[in-house]
Amino acid sequence: MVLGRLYWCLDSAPPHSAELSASEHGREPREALDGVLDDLWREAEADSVDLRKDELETVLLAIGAKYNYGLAPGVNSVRVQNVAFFRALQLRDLALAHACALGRDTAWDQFIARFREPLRQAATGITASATLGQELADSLYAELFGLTKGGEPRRSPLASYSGRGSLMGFLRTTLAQRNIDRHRRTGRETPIADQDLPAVPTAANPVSEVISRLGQSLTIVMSALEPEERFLLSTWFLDGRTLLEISRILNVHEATISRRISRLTARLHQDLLRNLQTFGMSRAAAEEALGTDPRDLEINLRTLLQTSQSGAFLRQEASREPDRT
Amino acid sequence: MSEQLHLDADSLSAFVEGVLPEHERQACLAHLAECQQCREVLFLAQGVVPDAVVAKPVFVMRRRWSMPVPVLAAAAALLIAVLGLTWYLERSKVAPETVALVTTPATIALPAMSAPVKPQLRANKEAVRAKPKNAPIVAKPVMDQASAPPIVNSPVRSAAPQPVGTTAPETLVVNGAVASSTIPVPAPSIKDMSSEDGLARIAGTVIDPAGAVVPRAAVTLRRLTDSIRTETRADAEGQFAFPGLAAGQYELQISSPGFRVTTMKVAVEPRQIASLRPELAVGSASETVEVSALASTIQTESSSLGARSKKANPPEPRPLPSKLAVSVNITSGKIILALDSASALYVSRNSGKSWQAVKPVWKGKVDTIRLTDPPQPKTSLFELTTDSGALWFSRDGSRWHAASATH
Repeated sequence: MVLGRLYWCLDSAPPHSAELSASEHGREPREALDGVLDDLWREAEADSVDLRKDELETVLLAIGAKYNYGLAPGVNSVRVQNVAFFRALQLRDLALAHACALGRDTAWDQFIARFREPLRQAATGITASATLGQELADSLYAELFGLTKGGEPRRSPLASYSGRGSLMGFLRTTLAQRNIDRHRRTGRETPIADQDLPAVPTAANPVSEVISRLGQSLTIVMSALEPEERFLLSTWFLDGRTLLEISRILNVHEATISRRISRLTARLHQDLLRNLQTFGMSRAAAEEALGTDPRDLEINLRTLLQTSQSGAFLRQEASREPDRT
Repeated sequence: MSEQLHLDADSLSAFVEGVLPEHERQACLAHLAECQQCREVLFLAQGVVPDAVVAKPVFVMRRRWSMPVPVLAAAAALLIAVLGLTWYLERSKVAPETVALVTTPATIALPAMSAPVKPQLRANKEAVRAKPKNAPIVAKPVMDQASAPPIVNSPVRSAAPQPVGTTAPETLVVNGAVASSTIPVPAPSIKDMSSEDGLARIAGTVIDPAGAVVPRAAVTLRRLTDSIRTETRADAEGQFAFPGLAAGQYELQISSPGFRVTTMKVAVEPRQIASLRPELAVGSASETVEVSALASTIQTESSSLGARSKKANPPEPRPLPSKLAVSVNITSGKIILALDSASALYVSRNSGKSWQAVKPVWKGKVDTIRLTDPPQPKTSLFELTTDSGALWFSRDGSRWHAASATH
C-alpha cells in the first residue's frame, strides 16, 4: 500500500485536503489522536492560519493511515508509535500548507511572507536564470493556489504535503519537477546531420557463446544488487554525476561514495567471474571473457540497470491498490 | 518500468531530507535507480553543484606482494614503535587550562521581520515579552529548567540542502553573556547527570529574534576533534540537551523551517554545563549564519561550593569492542548505550570504561536508540527502534522487552 501510494502520476492532481474525509480513513482509530490533538493543534499554530481542529485531525489521520505511522506495511502500530509519528511531523508547515490548500486568506498571507523570496531564489537556482526563475515561481504560485474549473473543488498540490519533510523542501522539489516537465515538453529535436549510415546487415551476426554467457551473468549479477547499489551505478555511470553530488543525496562523505563505488565494481567483477565459472568456464576463460571489448556486447547498460528490477516492481505494484486520484 | 509513474514531490523531498523510514527509503532508491526523470528532479531539487574537479573513485590495483619477509617485519616493528610513542605522548599530555571564551555583549539591530511571529508563552516559566521592531538584542542569563528535555541521538541525516543562487553565508555577532556572570546552582537533574560521571553537558533553549522559543528545532552537535555528530530535536519549549560529553570543542548547528541555519562553537571542560540560548535569524534554511561568539554561558556544577581543586580530565569512553565508529550513543547517569556503524548495540555501566555487547532479541537491525520520553525509571529508560519499526524498551540497556508487553 505504501509503495502504491508513492507512485502518483504528475498529471493527476492530488486530492483536496477537504476530501480526505472520514470515508478514506474511517477505519483508522481516532483514538490515535486522543489526548494529543490539542497539543498538536497548538504546536502547529493552526489557529493562526484559520485551520480548525477537526480539519487538522482529518489531515493527521489521513497522513498517519497513508504512511502507516512510519512503519513498514503490514506492521500494526501502537499508540506510542502513532503519537511519536505525529510529533515528528513539521506541524507548523503542515497546518500552513493545508490551510492554504483550503484557501484560507490568513494562511496565504503567511505563506507569501515566508516563502515568496525563498521560492524565487530556489527557482532562480534551478533555472540558472533570474527571468526564467521568476516565471517558474509565478507559475507555481498559480498552481499552488489551486485554481478551479467550473464548479470543481479547489485542487492544490499543497494538499499532498505530508509534513514529514520541510515545506520549503517540498516546494523546491515541486519547482524542480515543473522545470523538468517544462523542459521535456518544450525540448526540440536536434536535426540529424547528413551522414552516410552503414547498410543494414542482411543477416544477424552470430553471438558467440562467451558473449552470450557474459550477458547472462551480467543480468543475474545486476538483478541481485541492492536498491542503493543500483542507484549508485545509475547516477555514476548513466547520469555522470560527481561524487559530491551523489554524496549530498545519500548524506555521506565523498570518500565514502568513492569507496562504495570501487568496492561495488570490484564485487561485480568477482560475481561475474563466479557466475561465468558456474556456466562451466574455467577461471582463465572467465577472466578473458571479462576482458571482452564492451562494444562487442549486445547489452544496453541503461536498459539493464533500469529494467532488470521492473518485474519485481510490477509484482509489488500489483499486490497493492494503486492510489490514483 | 512505466515512465508514467514517478515519485511525488512529498516523497522526493522527504527522501532528500533523510526523514523517510528505512523501508520507504529503500523503495525510493529502487525507483530512482530505474527512473532517469526522477533522478533529474532529485539532483535539481537538491542543488546544482559547480562542475569542479572531483576525485574519481580509487580502483584497487591488485599487486603481488614480493617484498621479502624481513623487510615486512622491520616495517611492522617500526609502525608499532611509532604507535606506542604516540600513545605514550597522548597519555602524558597535560590537559589544557583554557576556558570557554565568552565575548562581551554586542548589540545589533535586526531589520523588521516581514512575517509577524506569534511569541509562545512558556507554560511554567517567565513570560517572554515581545520585542518592538529594530530593538537592540541584549543577552539574558539562562535559567536551567528542572526537567531535562528528551534526548534523542540519531545517525546523521543532514538538513535541507542549499540551492544555487542563494546568498553567501553571513556572519552575525550574536550577544554572548558577560564573562563574569555567574549562574545559580543548577537544578538537581543537571547536577546528577554531570556530577556522577564527571562528563560535561551542553544544553539550551532555541529562540527567535523576538525572544520567543522555537519549538522542535533540529540541533546537531559535532565534536571538532573527530567529527562525531549527534542529532537531537528541541522539545515544544525549544529546549535541547546533550549530556555525557567529553571535554573539548564542539560545533552546534541549529535549524528550523523559516529560519536561517545557525552554527556556533562551544568549548566545555569536564563537569561543566554549557547553557546556551541560540537565536535563530529569520530567513531561508538555505542560508547559514555562523555565530562568532562561543558558549553564551558556562556553568560549573560546583560553583556554589567555592574553588575546587584541579583534577586531571576524566578518561574518554573507550572504543567499542567492534572497533567500529559510534553512530549513536545515549547516556543516562553512568549507563551509556552505543550503536556502532554496523548497528551492533553495546552497553557500558561505568561511563564507557568497559563495554558489553547486547545480545539482540529483536529481528532485524537497530535503526535508532533514544531515551524514553517521558522517562520511566521503573519500567524503561531506553527505547530502541528496529528497521522494521518495532519498538523495544529496557531499564538497564541489557535486557529488552517488546513494546506490546508494556504499552
